[in-house]
Amino acid sequence: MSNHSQSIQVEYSPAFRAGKRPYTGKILQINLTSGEMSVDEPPETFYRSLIGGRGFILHYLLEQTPPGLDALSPENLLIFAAGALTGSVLPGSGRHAVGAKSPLTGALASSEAGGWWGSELKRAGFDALVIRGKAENPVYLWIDAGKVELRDAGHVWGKTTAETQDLICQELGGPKIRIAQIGPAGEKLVRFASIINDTNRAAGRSGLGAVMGSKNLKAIAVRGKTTVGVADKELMSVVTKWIFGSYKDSMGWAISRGTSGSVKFNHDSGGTAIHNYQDGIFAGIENLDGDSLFQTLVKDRDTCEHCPVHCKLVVEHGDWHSQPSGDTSINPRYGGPEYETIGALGPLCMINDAVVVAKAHELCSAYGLDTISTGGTIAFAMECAEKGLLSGLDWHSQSFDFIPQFGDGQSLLHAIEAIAAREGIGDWMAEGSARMAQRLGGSAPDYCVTARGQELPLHDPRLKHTMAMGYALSATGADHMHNLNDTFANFPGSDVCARLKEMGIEAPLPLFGIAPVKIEAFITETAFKNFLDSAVICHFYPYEYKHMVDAINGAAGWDITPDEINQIGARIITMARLYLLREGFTSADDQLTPRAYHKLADGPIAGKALAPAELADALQRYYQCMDWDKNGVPSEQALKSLKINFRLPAAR
Amino acid sequence: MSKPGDSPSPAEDLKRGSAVILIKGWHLPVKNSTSPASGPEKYVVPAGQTILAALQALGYTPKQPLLAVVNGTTADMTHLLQDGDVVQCFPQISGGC
Repeated sequence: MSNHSQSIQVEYSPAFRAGKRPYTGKILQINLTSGEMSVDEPPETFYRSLIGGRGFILHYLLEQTPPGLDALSPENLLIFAAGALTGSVLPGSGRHAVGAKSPLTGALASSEAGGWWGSELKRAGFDALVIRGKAENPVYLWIDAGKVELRDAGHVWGKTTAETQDLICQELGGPKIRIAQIGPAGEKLVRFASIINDTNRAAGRSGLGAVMGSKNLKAIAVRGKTTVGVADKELMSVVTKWIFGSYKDSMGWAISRGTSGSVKFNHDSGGTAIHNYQDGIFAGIENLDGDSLFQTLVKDRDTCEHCPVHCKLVVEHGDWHSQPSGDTSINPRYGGPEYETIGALGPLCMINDAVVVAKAHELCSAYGLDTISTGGTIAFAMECAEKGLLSGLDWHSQSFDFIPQFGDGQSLLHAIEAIAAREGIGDWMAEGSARMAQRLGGSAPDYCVTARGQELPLHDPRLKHTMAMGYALSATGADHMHNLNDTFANFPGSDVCARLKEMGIEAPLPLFGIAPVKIEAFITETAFKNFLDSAVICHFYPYEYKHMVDAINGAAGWDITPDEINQIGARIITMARLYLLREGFTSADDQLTPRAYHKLADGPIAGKALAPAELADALQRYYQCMDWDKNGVPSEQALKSLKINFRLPAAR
Repeated sequence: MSKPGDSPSPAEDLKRGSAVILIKGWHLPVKNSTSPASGPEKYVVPAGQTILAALQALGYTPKQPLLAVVNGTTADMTHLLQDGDVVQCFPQISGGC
């Protein structure tokens, strides 16, 4: 196998090798255009103020990219970042973050993925990878215990993620090689292409796969030779003993059915969008619920590094060994669908057939596509078809040979294939629903359900009003994770309520509306969640501030407090805001599309929705609480108090 | 036990001044079981109190936060129970996804 000439060998730092600290102390910089590689060795203050994950991503985007770049240009950075706790013994730490400028939104792309890859990156010697430029021909990166080289990827370009995984592992030889990669969708620059690791995990949202594809980078294979130690084993064991003693109770839902167990519950309480947000009730939803899936499709369970829960599903169907195309056999290599996937590819598109939904998930894993944006964009196209906007149009002077239809399973699967290949109407859908709506014009924008150009997750904004505000505000486009989930905070004893009480906020919260106490709660909860996305910790774990304090101090030997965790989270949120403003967004973009305000006629949330004026009022109150001006620009005082050095260009 | 997701029957046989609360949820960490994991528990409670107060009076300590749907409409836990109300309580997965 021929290699590119550039390769380097980086030694482990003594403290990391000795297992005394959880950071390697090394961040790898790679220029794919020139082949040059170098290593940053930031001071400890860098790690303490940014923690890792999203913190690192924002630092590099603000400090090392110019404003206004094309997200698919070589100038964009693609950053893979582990966090303070990645690879440690703490359950829920088997995760890493990926970030860049998003080709879907033009804003921040910052997505986290579970599995095994992130821990192995750290064991291989690096806290993060900062990748710039574009290789002349397809390449993959191989990092083997500090030895870094670029290798030809021509033989795997065009292959699915499972095929690529097998070929690269065979080529490199040896056990425990973990791979993060793009599928054909990323190669084709589909704007919501994902980065898949371990063949069944995804850094899903905002088009990171397209950024990787634009660099001709097919995969990153990693293997380490050491473990991730912690500074204070006794302090770390306070948290690990607590979680091992309590997870069977607090996470019984995850052990039992994983997120698939919430499908019917979310439908019956109005959380799951149906028929592209047009309907309140969906016949046959029980076919997609966990109880049904376990009877028909689930063959096994899967987990992430150091996690005892095994929440992931592994589904299997039909004779997938013979790999015919166009049928509904399902390869268990690709895992199984989570709630968001089931919601986006099921009721949103009016599909109540579990085999079809699970097959759709398999295709998204094989091709590397974000399931939420895939479902949201296809549902948008289905509504355009329903409303008669797509007949008579053409692609390359021919009529579309296929137009997706609500409720038609083959139509859904065909649409995914067409998106991944950018064929026919798939080429239009591959741009995302917002761009497709602009291209179609007329009433099409009314059917688009996005925030900052990204399709909404399956937590209906008409039920969850503070979450709706979070969708409008999020620097990553509509996001349900670094957000406050209104329905989790209406009952005492939830982990959300426990964290609010730690911060002195009265809980539980009112269910509907965005009262001042909910804004206060949103501020601390999003700070905590941004902290989690920088340490990179699984949100399913019911960790409170006190647990994170012990975990971080146990891992790194620091003395942080709950207030410092909040401050770190606020720093990251504010850096993300600065990034948005630098890239040309204004407070006018903190918005939802009209369908988010459209009240349903029936179902559990009939007649309920925020009004645009309510959202606008809540945003002003949020800006004020954050010490931002009425245009959502952070004050100099806010930046100083959060110790943020970056400043917007003087023209502002 | 009714199947998960069955709509409760109208509360015809309820005494006056009562409401029904059905709690659905994961009761045991039943890994890989093909039996329904989420059968409802049914309680008859006095009307005139909030849903939350009724659950607290029952001594109910759920393993996940609950969301209430009253007579088919999602409602706040502070909803004051009326005569004949049928309340379904659904667990919310902790963490955000």
